[in-house]
Amino acid sequence: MTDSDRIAALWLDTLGELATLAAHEIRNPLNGALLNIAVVTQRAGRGAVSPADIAPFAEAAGNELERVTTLTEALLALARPAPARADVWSTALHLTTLLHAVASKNGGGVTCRRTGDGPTYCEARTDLVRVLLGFGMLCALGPSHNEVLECTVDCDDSAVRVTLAGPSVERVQWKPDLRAVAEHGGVALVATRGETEIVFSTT
Amino acid sequence: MKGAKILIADDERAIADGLSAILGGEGYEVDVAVDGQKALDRLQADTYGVVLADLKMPKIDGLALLRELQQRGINTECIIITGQATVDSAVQAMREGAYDYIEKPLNADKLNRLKALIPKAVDKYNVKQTNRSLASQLENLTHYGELTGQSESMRSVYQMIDAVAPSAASVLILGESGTGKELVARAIHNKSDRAKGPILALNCAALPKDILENELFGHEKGAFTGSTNEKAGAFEMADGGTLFLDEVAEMPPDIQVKLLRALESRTVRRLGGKKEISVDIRVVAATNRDLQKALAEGELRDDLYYRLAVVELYLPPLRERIGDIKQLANEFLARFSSQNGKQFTGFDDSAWDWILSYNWPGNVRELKNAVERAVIMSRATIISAVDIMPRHLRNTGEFQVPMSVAVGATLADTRRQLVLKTVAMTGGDFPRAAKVLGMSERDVRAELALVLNGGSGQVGELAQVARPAAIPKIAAAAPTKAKAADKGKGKPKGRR
Repeated sequence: MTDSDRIAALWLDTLGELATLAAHEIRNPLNGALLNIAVVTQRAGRGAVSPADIAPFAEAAGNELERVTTLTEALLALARPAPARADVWSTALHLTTLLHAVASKNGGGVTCRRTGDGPTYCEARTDLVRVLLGFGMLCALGPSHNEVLECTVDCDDSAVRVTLAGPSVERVQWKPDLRAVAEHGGVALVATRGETEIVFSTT
Repeated sequence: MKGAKILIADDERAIADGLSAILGGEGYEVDVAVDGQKALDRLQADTYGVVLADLKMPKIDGLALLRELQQRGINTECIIITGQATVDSAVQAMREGAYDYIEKPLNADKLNRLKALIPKAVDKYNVKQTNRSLASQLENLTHYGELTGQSESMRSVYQMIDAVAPSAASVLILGESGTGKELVARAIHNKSDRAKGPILALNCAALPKDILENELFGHEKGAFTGSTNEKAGAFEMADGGTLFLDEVAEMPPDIQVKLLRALESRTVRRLGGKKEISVDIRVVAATNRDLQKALAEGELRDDLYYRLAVVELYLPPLRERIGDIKQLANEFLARFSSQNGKQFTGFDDSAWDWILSYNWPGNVRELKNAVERAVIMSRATIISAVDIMPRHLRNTGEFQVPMSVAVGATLADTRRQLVLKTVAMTGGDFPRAAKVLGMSERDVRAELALVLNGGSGQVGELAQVARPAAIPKIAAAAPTKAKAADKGKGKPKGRR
């Protein structure tokens, strides 16, 4: 099996897990939108109706559809075929959008911030970036996906460093095959106490 | 508004509000809880026909909420609505007692399905509520506090307790030992406005005079040798509540005088004490003595009797409420089976024959003890007469089948009935029946001939129990009525 095959297989696993988690978080706002639209329809169907009677429900339906759109876009962005150049920052943002929706429902949360003004692109393949960030963030959220996770993307001229910090980040156990694939792809995996760092070279 | 109220338990505000508005538009009264714990609090505080619960909620999830409803005996029907639709979670929800299970998102089809489900769930809830209400009414007909029985005499007792409990009147409970006099006293206390106060029971026959006096009135420090501390008596301890004096007719005369004084003045003085202590108590007394005799013989003071017996409540012995025996026996069997970790299907016919015909001189207490003993000792799954009969009654006859005789029956009738039963039990074996009865075989046949020719109506019993081979023998004894034996297919006539 080549590195490409391994990365593709690992990404399919990760994407499957992300899609399962996202499905529930998409169904809820979709349900909220449908119910609020049903209220508007029900009231409008009864004839003379004042805007005040339906406005809050129309607004709630709109907000819920916004939530659905955000989550769907994040999931679709990750599921699309990998572009030639890997944008670490945008990958981290999409993952954060999906995982925060899951974690916040369970009492946790995920944040992502960017530091440094260097490029957000790296030399590693996009699918490898997705695999490493996806696997790392999912593990760090804990088995019940209810932890607090901080993701920092530091961009300088030589590398994009993604640091994951949180109470469960030590759960991130990089498997040997993943570690080997990362090394071959020019990515360094650095585990320190309370943090895990994924360093993507930009040169 | 349509029938029962609906509770929506969902942490997604947009879902809860949307669903609430839709169901409100359908005519339902709807409340919203934003987590499982709040839903449970509302379900305990108010009455809802249906709860629409999200499976995944903070604090208590939908399945845990279902379990809590069951454990707390809340009848509300639960429809689970979830975005995590898996076969496992659906199966588990239905196993836990959910009325139904719907997957999010609720599109038009699913919303219509939900709208159709709700009235059905409300109907089921209403049926359960009606059943519960009927069961409660039945329970009230057959039970009163810790008392059990639905006979006319026990219902009169319940009515009397209802009438007398709210008053401040002293009550004298009359009844044989084991009829439940203390339970009646407790029922009176619990139904009265003193229910929050204490109830203290004192058996006046169980204590020597000095100790009884001390228990009733208490003592001061140094009142007698060894009294190193002061002690409050039953009157003081029952202040604000009820004092139950059992076996009051056994109380020594000089304590009766003190008791009378305490009842009239509503004050007591401790032994060795100087100050009068005011007490606010109600006295309920009981006795199993023949009161007229006790009064005539001066064992119970007239003035105390009139003070105690403002209301007299007669508790009938078990033999006077045969209709309650079966219910009591079954309840004791269920209670002791559970306590002893055993399972019984009930009592067999021989046990019922004996239970229903026995005199029960020790009343409910004796029945209770007999059932408990039977439960402990029996190795079968059904209690038989041998299990429940006291040892001293087991060997009084060759057959452990009781025979009841109505007061007023003639000796001749009784003799005839005994002969008939014995012949029946031997399966028509006349020589054996004669031996058991201590009569000659000829006398047995003659007695039977009288039955058959006299048309007493008891032939059916004989025909049912006797071996087929015995019928010709009996018929031979009374050929003119032989056919009557075939017609008598009814059950034996007994007290049941």
